[in-house]
Amino acid sequence: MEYSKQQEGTNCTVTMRGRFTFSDRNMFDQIIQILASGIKQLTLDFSEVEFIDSAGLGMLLLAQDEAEKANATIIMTGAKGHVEKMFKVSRFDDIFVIQ
Amino acid sequence: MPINDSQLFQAAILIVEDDEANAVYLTEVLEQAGFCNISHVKDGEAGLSAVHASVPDIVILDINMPKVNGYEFCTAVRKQEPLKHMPILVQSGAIDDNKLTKAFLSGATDFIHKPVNNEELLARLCVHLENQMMMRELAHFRSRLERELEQARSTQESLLPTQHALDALAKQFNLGVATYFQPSSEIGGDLYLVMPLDDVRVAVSVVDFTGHGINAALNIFRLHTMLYSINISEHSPGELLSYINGKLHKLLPTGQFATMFYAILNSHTRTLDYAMAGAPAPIIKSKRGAKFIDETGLPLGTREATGYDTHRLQLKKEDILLLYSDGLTETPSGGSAYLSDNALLKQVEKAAANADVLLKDLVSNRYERAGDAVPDDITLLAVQC
Repeated sequence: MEYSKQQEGTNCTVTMRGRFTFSDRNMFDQIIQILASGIKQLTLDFSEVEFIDSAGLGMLLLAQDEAEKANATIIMTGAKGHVEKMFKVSRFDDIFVIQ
Repeated sequence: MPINDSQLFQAAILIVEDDEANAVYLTEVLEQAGFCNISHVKDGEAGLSAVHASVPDIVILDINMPKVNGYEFCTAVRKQEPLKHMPILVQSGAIDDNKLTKAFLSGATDFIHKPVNNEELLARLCVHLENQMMMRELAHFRSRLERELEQARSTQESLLPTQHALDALAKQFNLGVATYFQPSSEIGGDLYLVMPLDDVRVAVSVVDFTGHGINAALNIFRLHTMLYSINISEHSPGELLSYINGKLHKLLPTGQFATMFYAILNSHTRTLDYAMAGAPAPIIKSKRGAKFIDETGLPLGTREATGYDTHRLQLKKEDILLLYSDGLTETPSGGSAYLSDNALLKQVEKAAANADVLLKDLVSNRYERAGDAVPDDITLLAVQC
C-alpha cells in the first residue's frame, strides 16, 4: 500500500492506494502518528484501495483507539468493492464515520 | 546473538601447512591470543583426512603443498555437505590476482598474506569464527522452532474433531458432514466446530482470529478453553457470541479480534439458529440454487458492549450449509486469484449436491486459481441435512 497526505489546519486527509494488509503495519503506524500531532479530523480515503484483510481492519481499530485518546474523529470515505463489503460484514459503521 | 570469549577461544582450528616453522609460529600466535584447541597437519591430503574425521570450526590453509594443494583441498571439501560452510582462511606468499581468484573460486572464504600480520590474522579469524557460530546458533534455533511448531500443530489438530467422530455424528443425526483444514504455517488462527449439543441439535462454527501463526493459534486455544468451560448447549447462538465477545474484549489487545459464525442445527425440524460476528457470509445450497446468509456483526473482541442476535432459517432435506474462512476466497496476490462473491456462488451452485464433493470442488479450484502457497489459513465446513 502507498499513501499520500494533505493537511489543512487541524484537518488531514490520507489517500491510500493498493492493498491494505498485514505487511502495511509499519506504514500505517505513520498514519496513526498523525493523530498525535494535534489533528482533530482524520479522513481516510479508500477510493483507491482494492483490498483489505483482517489485519487491515485491526489497524483501523487501533487508529480509532488513538483518535479517541486524542479527541479526534476518523472519517472513512470512498470504500468500494471488497473493502466496502468488509466494512459492511464487520459492521464498521457502528464504530467509524463512514461516508 | 553475542558470542562469548570462552566459546570463541575453544574453537577448533586446523592449520594445514607444510612449512613446519610457519605452522609453529601460527600456533604460538593463536595460543598467545588465548585459543586452546589448535591442531596441525603437514599437507592437503592429511588435511582432508582430518576434516573428514572431525569438522573444525575454521581451517588456516597454505596454497603450495605436496600431494593435495590448497586449491584442490578447497574444491574437495566444498563438494561435501557438512564441510560446505566451513570457513577456510587461505594464507600464501607472493600471489597474483589470477591465483587469488582461483583460490576464491575453489572455495576459500578469505585470504591473508604471508608473512602473516598477527593482528590481521586474529581479526580475520575472529570474524569468521563468530559468523560460523552465529550461523550454527541460527540453524539450531531454526530446527528447534520447527520441531516445536510441529508439536504445536499436532496439539492444535487435536482440537478438531477426528474423522471417526465426524462419521459417528453424521450417522447419529443423519447428516452429511465434510471438513477441510489447512493452516498457512505449521499452526494457524482458524478453528471449526461440529459438536452434538443433545440428541437432536448439532452446533457448527468457523472461527478466524486476525493474523495467523503462533499468536493467532494461541488465541484459538483460549477460545477453545472458553467454549468448553461453559455448557454451550444451554445458550442460543446470540448469547454465546455475546459471552465470548465480552471475554475476548478483556483478553485481546486493540486491533486483534476474531470473526465467528456459530449456528445450531436441529436435525429433526431442520431449523438453523445462528449468530454472526463478521465472518465471511455462509452459503445455503439448495435445489433452487445457492444464496448467502447475509448477516453482519462486529468481530468478537472489538467492542465490549456488543450484543449479538440469534436469527433463524428453515432448511429443507438435502440443503447444504457451507461455512468457510477468508483463506478460501482471498489471496495476497489479488487480481484473478481473488474469488468474488458471484464466482463463489456459481461454483457452489454448479457442484453436486453432496457435502464431500462440494468441498473437494472448492478446494481443488482454490489451488488451481491461487497456486499451492497458502498465505492464510483455509477452513471449510459443509453440513447437509
